Amino acid sequence: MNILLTGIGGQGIITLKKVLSYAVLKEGKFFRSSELHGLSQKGGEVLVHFRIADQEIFSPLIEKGGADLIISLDLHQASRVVDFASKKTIFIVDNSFSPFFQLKKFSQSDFLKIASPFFSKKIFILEASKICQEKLDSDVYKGTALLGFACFQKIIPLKEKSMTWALKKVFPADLFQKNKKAFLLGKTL
Amino acid sequence: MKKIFKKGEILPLIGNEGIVVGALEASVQSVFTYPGTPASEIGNLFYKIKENYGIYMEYSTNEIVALESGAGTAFAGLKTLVAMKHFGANVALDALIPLAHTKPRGGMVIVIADDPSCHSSAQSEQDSRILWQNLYLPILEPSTPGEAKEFTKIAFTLSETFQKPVIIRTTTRVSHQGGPVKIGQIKIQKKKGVFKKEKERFDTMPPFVLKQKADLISLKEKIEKYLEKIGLNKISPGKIKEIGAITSGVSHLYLLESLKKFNISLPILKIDSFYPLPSKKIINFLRKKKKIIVAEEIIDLIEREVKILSKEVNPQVKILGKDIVGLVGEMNTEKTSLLLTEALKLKYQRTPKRKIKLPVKRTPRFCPGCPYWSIFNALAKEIKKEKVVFTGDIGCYMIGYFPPFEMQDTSLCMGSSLSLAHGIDKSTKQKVIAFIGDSTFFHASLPNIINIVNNQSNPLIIIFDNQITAMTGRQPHPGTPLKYKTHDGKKEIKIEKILTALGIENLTILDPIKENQLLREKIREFLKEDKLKVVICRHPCRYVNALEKAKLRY
Repeated sequence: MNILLTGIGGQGIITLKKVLSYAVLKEGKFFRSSELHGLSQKGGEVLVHFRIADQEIFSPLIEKGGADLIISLDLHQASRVVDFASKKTIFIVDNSFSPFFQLKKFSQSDFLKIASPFFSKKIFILEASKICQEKLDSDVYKGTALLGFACFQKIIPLKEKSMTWALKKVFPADLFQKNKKAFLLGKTL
Repeated sequence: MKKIFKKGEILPLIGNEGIVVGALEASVQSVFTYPGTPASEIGNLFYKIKENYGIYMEYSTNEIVALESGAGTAFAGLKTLVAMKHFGANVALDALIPLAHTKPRGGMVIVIADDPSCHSSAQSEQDSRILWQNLYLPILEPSTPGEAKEFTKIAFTLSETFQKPVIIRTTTRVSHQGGPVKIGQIKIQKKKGVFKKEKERFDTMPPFVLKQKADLISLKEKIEKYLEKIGLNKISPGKIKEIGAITSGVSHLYLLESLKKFNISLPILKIDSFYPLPSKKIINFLRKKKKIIVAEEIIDLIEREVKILSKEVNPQVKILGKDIVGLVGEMNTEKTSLLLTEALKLKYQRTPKRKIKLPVKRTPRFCPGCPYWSIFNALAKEIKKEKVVFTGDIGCYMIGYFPPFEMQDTSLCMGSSLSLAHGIDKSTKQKVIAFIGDSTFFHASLPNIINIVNNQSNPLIIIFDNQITAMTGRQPHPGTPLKYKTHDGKKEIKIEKILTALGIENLTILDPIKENQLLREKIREFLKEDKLKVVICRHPCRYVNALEKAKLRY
């Protein structure tokens, strides 16, 4: 399965990658991923390629049109990566947009205009940041909530138990509790 | 102290972490680096674990200092690792070439990380392997995090066996590639080094430097045999006999992916050692082949050697490589698929280019609360940017290049803003402002500033001082206050004391957030006068403690 994780520098995309990595290894599966660091990641766009398989796979990168799942923490960012999607791609997108100098407004319908005419009907636009803000006092947990959604909807081939184990592995005790709650919120999205 | 890694565990690591674990398994004793993407995580991880494993590790002032210091510990018999990004290798080159002529007593491994496609290296797409023609040092190229670990171990053994430094060359997609890695036995080796005098071993002077060079070159064949014996540069067989592929680094993985996609099986020679190339193996591989695909990152260096070798054994063979995929930008599966379709005359439909107008790209921006934003804001308020030349440098202040500020007219390398400003000031009537960071100041600015003072030009030098090497992950530098560097450096060296010692009078130190009006005043003064002026804008990065505080979790 080819998963593209995307968002904005600082939103914790690399941490989400770590959670997925540990969950994959817990289940005895194989993964290969690719991430970037440095200047472009300072508040710029972040893309993590994450490929899961039962046996060894090769390329760390997903080809254009080759993503099975795109998880985006930002509407605008989700529309920036549609090149990686095909008619089979599932989108899980947080219904939020962080404005920047060149673009002040970007709505759900702006995203759908770009994505839906070309791609699948499996586009989930979720209120993860809103609900995390309400229930956990911060939208910083929205990525974990989206992973929860993907897990409970059985979109990703990883069990809840392995994901919770991975969260514990990646986060220190206090943050683990918050992230576990966020993960469970994924059930209600 | 608590050990981080347990034998037998399978961990998700990126290539850079693989290199660290490989070095630990090889009982590394001292580590020197200057941070630079895509090599930074090597230093970051050593910084966090050095006390646990009793390793001497430092952030050196720059890469040549790191390499020379590492040569010192290796001469004294310690197993040493030095890590840097590709531009750092340019900085270190002055020491690296003579070092190749010497014979360190301890194993010495030098990691150089290239960045095809310039993901995090604004200045150029450089292939560091090209250095081989002056070095004649072994260069190993891993493809995966697991190989990054294994090749680092091999590099230490190789270095000890032949008493030469060994280079590990990675690229971004290896250094930042994640995958499962099995942890092996880590043995800590605690011993003090001894420098035993032996002139013709450690010194390089004519005429014996020429003998050293002859010895160095003569190692090639022996190392080639050794690498053959330990099973590097493997050939995997394929069903098609008349077409073969030669691959290296991450390009090997892309080719395997493409082969799987087309359900094709080709014989593949995977080059693990760029130098020495397994030339006998290549010659045998070329026999009876009609076509050869070469897949490698950046420059067609293996391809050229293959072409030369083919002249002897099989001059008719057609070699497909960079003439098909081009010399610009990183490799990927689209490119390896293109090579396959050309070689096998396959019908391959490239993913059709869809006509979608993508929305504008989000460019990097200053973090909320960044002191550098306040500096650019002051500049934007006081200056019409068309009227002034801004020479930029390497650091977070490069974000000033992007909208809304768009204040950066040049960027060559670390420290270059100062000398560019000097040259432009000498040759024009234009006002020039040079930007330089705090870590960059220590890394590469002293000769430049001394030159400005000595040869008298009059730019405004703004020192962006956020007290940490922020862009690469908040590593400490010589000017970082002690409270932010508990594991590194025992001094806080003040930039202003250095500048005062150089006789710079027109010097102001201010906080760009709290004293923004004063900064604006200084900019106005500069526009009116024709005098060298230095303003140190000092305010800690909002995340100054990020690396220091980050807890390791594996």
